[in-house]
Amino acid sequence: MPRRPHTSRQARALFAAMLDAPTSWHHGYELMQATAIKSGTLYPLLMRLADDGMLESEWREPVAPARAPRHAYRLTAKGRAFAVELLSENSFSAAAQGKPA
Amino acid sequence: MIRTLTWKAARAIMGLAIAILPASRRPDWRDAMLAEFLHLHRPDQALAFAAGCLRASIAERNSAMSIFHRALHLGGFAIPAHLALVAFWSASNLAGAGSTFTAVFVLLGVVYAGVAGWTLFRPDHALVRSASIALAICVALFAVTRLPLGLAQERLYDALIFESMAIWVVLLGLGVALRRYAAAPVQAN
Repeated sequence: MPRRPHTSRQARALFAAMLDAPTSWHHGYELMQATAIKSGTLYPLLMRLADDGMLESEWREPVAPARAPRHAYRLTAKGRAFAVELLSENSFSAAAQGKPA
Repeated sequence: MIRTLTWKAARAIMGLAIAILPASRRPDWRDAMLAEFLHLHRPDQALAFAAGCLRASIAERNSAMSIFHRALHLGGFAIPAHLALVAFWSASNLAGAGSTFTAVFVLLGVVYAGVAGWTLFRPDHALVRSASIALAICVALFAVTRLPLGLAQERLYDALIFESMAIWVVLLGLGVALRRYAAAPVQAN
């Protein structure tokens, strides 16, 4: 049976990191540090989430010491709902198995 | 010194990564990865980030290819790679004879190996560009061998030139097909 999209371990870690500040904009490198996901996994994941309307992105003006604009991401309402549902499933199954979520 | 080299390697890898990202993902994601790369200050971070972006670009490119496109890409790499091996094998067989042909086959091997490597990363450009240049060189060489230069084994040079022309015409056709596929819109999965 094919796995549901966006439910991998990395996707869960990304959703968890973005849900910590659900309305804030996050930069790619900041997400890499928060989730320990490497750029080779993060960017394809961000692309898929954006394709499916779970993520919005925009160019943000640089904040010193940065000099160039950076691409930033945040969850859409659809993405937030999906993330909350996914992470609550995760907590529920972990609790059922007696493991920390 | 090591720091500078690491930065240079990171920049080269990042350049390759953004070059091979499929057209359907440009310019937004290419610029997004590049902007994040430019924000990094440590060369080891930049190198790791660039290597990851290269991996991501290869994965994106592969997922954007149909099975037929992938087969063409594989052929575009495998044919020149195989020809490189044949050329090096021929050169090693001729090595004892000290013939000029040894150098010719080594040169051909290097050219085919270079084209195979180039095709691996830039299938939409490599074959068309290299085959166009190689065919022009073949025509020029053919014209040169028509001059009264008193070349020994003139027929053998002619045979090599004609064989090369046939190979490059096939590779040019493959390259044109690859370029058409690369330009075609990607079907959503």
